[in-house]
Amino acid sequence: MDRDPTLRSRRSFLDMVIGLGFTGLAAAVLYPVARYLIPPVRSGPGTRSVVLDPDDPAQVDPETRIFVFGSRPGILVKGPGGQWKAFSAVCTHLSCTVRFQAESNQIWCPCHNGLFDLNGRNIPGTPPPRPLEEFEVHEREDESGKKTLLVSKGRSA
Amino acid sequence: MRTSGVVLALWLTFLFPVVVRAESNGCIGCHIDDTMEERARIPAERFKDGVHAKAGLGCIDCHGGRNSDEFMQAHSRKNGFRGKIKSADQPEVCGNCHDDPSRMAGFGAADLATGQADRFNRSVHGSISPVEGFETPACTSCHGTHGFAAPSDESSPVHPARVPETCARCHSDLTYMRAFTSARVRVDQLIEYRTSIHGQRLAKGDEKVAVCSSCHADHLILPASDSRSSVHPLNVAETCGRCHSDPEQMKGYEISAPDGTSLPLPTDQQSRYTESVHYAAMTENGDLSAPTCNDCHGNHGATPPEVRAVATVCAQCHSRPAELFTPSEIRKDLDTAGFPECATCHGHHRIVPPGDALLAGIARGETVAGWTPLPAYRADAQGFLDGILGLKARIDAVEETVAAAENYGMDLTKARLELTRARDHLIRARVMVHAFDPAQMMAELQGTREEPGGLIYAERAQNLAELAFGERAYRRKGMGFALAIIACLMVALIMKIRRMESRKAQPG
Amino acid sequence: MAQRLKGLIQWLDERVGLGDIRALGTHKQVPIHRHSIWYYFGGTTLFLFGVQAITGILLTLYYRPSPEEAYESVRFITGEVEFGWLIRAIHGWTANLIILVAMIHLFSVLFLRAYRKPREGTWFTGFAMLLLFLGFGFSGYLLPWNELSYFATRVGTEIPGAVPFIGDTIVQVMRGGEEVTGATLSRFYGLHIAILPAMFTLLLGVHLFLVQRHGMSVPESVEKASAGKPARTMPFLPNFMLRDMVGWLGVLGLLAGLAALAPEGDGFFVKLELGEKADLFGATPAGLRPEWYFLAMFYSLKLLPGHIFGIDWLVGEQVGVLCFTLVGAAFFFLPLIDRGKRFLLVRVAGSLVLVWLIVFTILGRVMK
Repeated sequence: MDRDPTLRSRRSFLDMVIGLGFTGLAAAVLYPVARYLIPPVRSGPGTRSVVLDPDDPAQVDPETRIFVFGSRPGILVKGPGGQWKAFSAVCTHLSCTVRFQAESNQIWCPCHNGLFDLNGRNIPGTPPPRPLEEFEVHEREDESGKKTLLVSKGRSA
Repeated sequence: MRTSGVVLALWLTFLFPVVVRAESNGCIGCHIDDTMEERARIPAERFKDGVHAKAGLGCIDCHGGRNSDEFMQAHSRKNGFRGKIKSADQPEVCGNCHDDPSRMAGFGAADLATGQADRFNRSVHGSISPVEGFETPACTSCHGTHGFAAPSDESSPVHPARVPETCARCHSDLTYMRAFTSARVRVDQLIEYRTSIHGQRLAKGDEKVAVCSSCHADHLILPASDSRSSVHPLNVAETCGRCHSDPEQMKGYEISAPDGTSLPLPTDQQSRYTESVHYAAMTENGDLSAPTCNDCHGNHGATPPEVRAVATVCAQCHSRPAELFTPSEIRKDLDTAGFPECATCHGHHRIVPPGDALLAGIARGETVAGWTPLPAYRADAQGFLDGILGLKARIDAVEETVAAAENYGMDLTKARLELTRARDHLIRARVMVHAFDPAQMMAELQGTREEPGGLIYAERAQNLAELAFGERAYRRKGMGFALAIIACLMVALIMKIRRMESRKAQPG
Repeated sequence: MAQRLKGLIQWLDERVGLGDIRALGTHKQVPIHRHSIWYYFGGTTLFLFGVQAITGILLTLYYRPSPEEAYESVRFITGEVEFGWLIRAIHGWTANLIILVAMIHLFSVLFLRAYRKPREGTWFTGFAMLLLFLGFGFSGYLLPWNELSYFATRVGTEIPGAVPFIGDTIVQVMRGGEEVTGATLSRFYGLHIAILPAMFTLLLGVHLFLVQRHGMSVPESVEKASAGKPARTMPFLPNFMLRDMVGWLGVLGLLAGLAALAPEGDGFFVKLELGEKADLFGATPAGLRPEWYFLAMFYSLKLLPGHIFGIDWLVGEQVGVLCFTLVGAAFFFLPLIDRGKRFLLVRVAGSLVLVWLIVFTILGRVMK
């Protein structure tokens, strides 16, 4: 049909562009999809709940008992009855980060010496006006018998 | 005959009035007799000298019965005789007259005040439930029995000089107090009171000073937990101010100045206190644990704190600043110079929220109490101020960058966490001023080898925000790349369609 | 290379019969006239559905349908998984675009009267698929379990309660209980990724088969104008197919742009931002609105008084829901209603509905 060689070469060039274009498009679509399929190494912190291994120093600081809860710090302690308790580590006085104090077995704020008991209640006579916000803690056990804690902001069903 | 005349004269002089009164008051006639056992005689003896006898009252006005010489007539229950008046009945019996203005008219300087029984009934004393074996408090617990005297009379148990002991009769008796309240009840109020300025002055005969009833009210005594009580935290300043804000009342009292001279006692404490952060915390934020007068001065043992004890008093609540301040050099200098520690910069009574301005004041060489800091302190203060304001400005700037990145839909949770930490250090730096130690301040701002400081955390947040902006640029680049491919393809396809259809339109 | 490709095609042709498919495509003719543009919207809808299926499947790889983890997993997708933000943004934007395109497709068919005999079945299945899209949108909206979606769903699932006698039962079945809880989330998830797609696939099969069977409808005006002469057409393959592809590429580019520039939606009609996690006992956030495609209905219900004309038994909400049902039924049965010369009526009614949709959607968004 196409006896004109210039027309034919122009046509094959166009076909080549189209072929290249589709290849490029396929790459542009498949690249993000492929990257998406690779799971991220680290599970990210939630803003409303987080799964913690209480013995992992990378997750819960062994000394201060601080863990990361979204963009704010949380604190994980063993309550007076031996059960796990988690609170927002944001002091109710001036929003400093509180920490566990082993000597006194209390939660202590280094900014103004605010104290909370292990139920998160502010100790009268210290600056904090209110108890710490408490989180819900659910103990979970995986197949290998390893215990983890699901810490979540309360009141979600 | 002469003898009989003498006897008659003596009789007329001494015994006749008794017989005459005995005739108008059969009770006393018998009860005053020496043959009566003490239990029955003493009331009559006391009564005849008391204010009630002078007012023309008789025994039967309280005890009921008949004013008769005949025993059965006088003590007949049918005639309303009630014998000893039980505690529970006292407010009603006494109130019969004392709550009735018409009956109290004409007594005392003006008409005698009324309503005591009614106020008592509404008080903590009037609402105690009876406990087997213990007498509940009532009118006579404080005012005594039979020989009632006006409070101004030194013989009265409610005379100011005697009030502390009168109250302590019950309130220092642990067994008695535990019967009605908790096992943790305090019974040391009197001991504390005696150490107070009020108590010391009272012991020296100054009857103008505050006694129990001055603060706790007289009849309508309510526990401090009751918001209507004069000693409820919200009312304490007002209660103390009743005397301490009254120049007339305070006339003649003095306080010693740092240089050893004496100054007249000021009367502006209450008005200054109501402008303080402490008063605002209590009234506006509803924090009843915020201090009022007694929290710093003591309540029963009320005494002005000594200059060197100021930090200890403030440390009750402000433990962290005190912890830093107590071992500091600046404290030693203040103590030596006789300046009141915390109050040197923060003032007293009218303590306003602290701020960077206080630090600026020290840098300029100005303090509330008039202390002139050494040049070295002034230089340190300027350094602290610059450091703190610098960190604050840095945090604000980073915060803005983070917010901007978030506006583009980037997740900056981690940057926010770093900012929280930076802000932690800003607050801690502000407390750190109390140590007045440049090295410790540096640790909060810049950090140490072990722990990063506020500026480092702010920097980390900034880096994360910049990463997010980088990510945004990367996304846009990726989109541009995809769009370029798509656009090329679309153009090529349109050209192909054109070509194809133009060919078809040609014959052949 | 080209030789080998040709060999492969031949190999396939011998076994699958590519030639037949190709012949089908080349024989299928698409009429050319001034209304041809509307033919593209069906294909675009189909393309967008493909995008939804692919991105949707990708999202299920990380999404966890439980109240404890749903929100966190979506946050994980957008925050931690590489290009997770892109997949979610495309899924979210396409969900909105697909309803817009499908509605344009529906109204173009309505105004061109393409539903008339013998294409009634195409209309029925098409309309049913649009309803399914709304169902997809409604069920998918809850899945991130964030504050906005939770409360919007609570309000949305309340509306069927206005149906007399069985209203409460409908609400309970929708919610999987008395309240919107984790049970609702499980239900909506199942609906969104299994039940609705299955139903949709079935309807789509019938729809495409019928389109294939009857060919493209030519508008009456065009038929009249050509007066019996054979109309101008182009073969589906390759001419129309290539044109379709240009359109799809344009849509794909649009999606890429929207997803990259506004991954959280435009913030006005389309809102994809995650916000805070749902708090079951929290206060209902102010200015709560449903997705834009429910706005017209939402706003109409809001305007209705509690009792119409103050009459006790004329409950505003019930009347509203009844009206929507009637209008919907009328739309569905349009090919049966519109017989003979009633087309003018249909055109007027259709225009009124279209104007209502546009005006009330905007009002619903703008008014407080």
